[in-house]
Amino acid sequence: MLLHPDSYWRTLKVNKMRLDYDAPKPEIKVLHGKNETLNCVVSHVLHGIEEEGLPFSVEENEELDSIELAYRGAELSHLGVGIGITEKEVVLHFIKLKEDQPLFRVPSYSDVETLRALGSNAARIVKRMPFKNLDNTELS
Amino acid sequence: MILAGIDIGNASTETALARYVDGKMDFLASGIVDTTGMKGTRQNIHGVFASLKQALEKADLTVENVDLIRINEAAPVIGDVAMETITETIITESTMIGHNPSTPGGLGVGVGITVDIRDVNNCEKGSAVIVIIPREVDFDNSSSIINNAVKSGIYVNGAIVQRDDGVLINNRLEKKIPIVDEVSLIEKVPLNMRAAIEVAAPGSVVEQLSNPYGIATVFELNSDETKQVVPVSRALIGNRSAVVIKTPAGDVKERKIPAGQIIIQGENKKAQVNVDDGAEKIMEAIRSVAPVSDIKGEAGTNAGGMLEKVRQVMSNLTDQLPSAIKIQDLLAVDTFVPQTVKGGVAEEFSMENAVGIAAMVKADKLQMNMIAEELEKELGVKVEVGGVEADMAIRGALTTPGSNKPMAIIDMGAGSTDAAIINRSDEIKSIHLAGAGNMVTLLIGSELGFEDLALAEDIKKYPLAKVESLFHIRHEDGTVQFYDKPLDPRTFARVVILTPLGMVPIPGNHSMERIRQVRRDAKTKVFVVNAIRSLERVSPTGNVRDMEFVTLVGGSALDFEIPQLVTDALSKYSIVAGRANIRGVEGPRNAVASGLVLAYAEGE
Repeated sequence: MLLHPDSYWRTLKVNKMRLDYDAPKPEIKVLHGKNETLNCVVSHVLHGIEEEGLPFSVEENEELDSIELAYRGAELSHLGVGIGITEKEVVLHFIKLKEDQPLFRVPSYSDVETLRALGSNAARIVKRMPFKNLDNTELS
Repeated sequence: MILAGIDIGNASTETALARYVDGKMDFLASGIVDTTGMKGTRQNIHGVFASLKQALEKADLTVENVDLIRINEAAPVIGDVAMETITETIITESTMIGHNPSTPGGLGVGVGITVDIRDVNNCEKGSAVIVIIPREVDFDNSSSIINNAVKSGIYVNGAIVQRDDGVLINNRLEKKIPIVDEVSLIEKVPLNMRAAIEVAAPGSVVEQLSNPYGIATVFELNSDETKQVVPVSRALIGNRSAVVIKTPAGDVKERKIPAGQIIIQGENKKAQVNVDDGAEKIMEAIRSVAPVSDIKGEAGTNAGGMLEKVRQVMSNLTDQLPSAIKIQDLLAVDTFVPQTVKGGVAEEFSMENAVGIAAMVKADKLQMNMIAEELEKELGVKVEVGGVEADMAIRGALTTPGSNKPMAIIDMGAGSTDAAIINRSDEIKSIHLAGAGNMVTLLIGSELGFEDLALAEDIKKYPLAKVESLFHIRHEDGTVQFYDKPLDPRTFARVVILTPLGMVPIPGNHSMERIRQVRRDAKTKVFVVNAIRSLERVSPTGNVRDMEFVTLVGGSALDFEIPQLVTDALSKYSIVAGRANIRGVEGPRNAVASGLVLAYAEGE
């Protein structure tokens, strides 16, 4: 294909414009309901993501259904991965799935290992690594 | 009249049902079920029933309609397989951790004395330590303990962690250190010993500890001691993280188990060969003394044990004394098996040399007449024992479109590989060799370290794919297939077997390429080797090149790649070889059963 001599510069300009634009960071979005008791649950999930080495951001949100929250997170996340946390349950969602069919859901009273495994699995969707069991052990 | 030919094989019992009117044979239906019990025993009858019933149902007939049943004079051949490692790595009074946690923490090499993290503040200022962090201490506590210890002047140079906390701890440290995590048996890590720990950058592997001189440098070893750490560094090659702990009487050695000798008694000659010399030497010795009358192993060695075990199994099955069982062929294959390193802390393994052996025994005579009588009693239908199995197989194979005499068949079953040749004047010569489908399963299972032979069997039978996202897989040949519905999360990012019942995820971290290579190697080592071996024996001149047409029959000829591997290998000898297509419809199945029916028409 022949390129117009100017086209190289034109693409450069476009790229520069894109860079200037406030690009979304590649991160996993964690949305949680307004409740102090949830802080502990949220931090366990975040440790799971951190251990896998992925960036994440957390937002407090109006109380919604946990699946809705997770799906909204997936929509906001540049990686398409969202986690919704309510008093009832913790849900992991992926943008390419149907809204009413999330990937994993566990009750919020689950133990530390399960909550961390859920966080790790959120990261592993992005890393394309086999999921952990929900007791935080590697799947054999 | 309606007649049924029934073939009882090592793995499956097949039926061919036909109507014979005015000298014309008209095939109606066929049946296939798993053989019940060991071939040639009373238990076979259940399988015979089921197989016959299946064919009858397809043809809308009942047992009363059948006028004659012909069963095969089964070749009295039984195969068994065994595997023996001939090398072993043992670590005594010294330890290493060479596993690959998915997310170790930190980077670099650290050396120090091992100490429990809860006691680290009792250490002297200025001492270099490696902290051991058991499950009870979480990452928040351990990182603050380490930070405090460093502030008070103790050099914490590395950490060994039981939980999957490596990155979490590392992110909370002020001074970064290498951290190995997910060490399940942490209580086995000795305390107050000098240890070295290394974590490589993502995408790299450890360099210092996988090098004997590297270990010598960290531990200030002399030349004799350096010799002894070679197996340790060998076991650490290719890992992203590693720990080596030196204990006072540290002594690691690779020891060769005396594998012993195999004694091959030919009809005229005798040969002895060391199992250590490998499969090639063993096969050469067998070829040199052929025909073989018996094979024995040296008493008190692994080889002896392995062959005696086979003999024992055979004697139980055939109700004969072990001394009366003669091993008449043997297929030896070199292989590697992962063996747990004795003395490792994280269940490390190293690949050890092994020899796999398939043995073939000719039983006295299988009790086919007994089976025939019993069947006749139960069914009220006349049952007769038809001709020799190989003759029937050839007769069946000749119904393959495009085939003609002279022709050779290779019957690739589960227990043995049989070959037969028919010339223009209808003379048939046949032989039986050890090693077939079961041997392939054994090799795949042991080389990949799966004790579950059902899994190895699936790997043998079906192609692989890699699940690349929740919606698509990549096949072995690189083609991508998409799905409308999300795939099972348990298969995500894994290598799966594409069985007819769905995807089966393969445990462990084997790559698709490696599993494929192991599978194809196992099939080549058994079936290609046996195809050539068997043709050498039946060829009228003893030379494989003098054959022209070869058809492949039997269960293993149904495999998706074995026929191609054999066709490819035999084409080098300018032989036309391919999978048979019995009666133009059955594929490589039903050769013997069809042959039994056809032989009746020819008045045999």
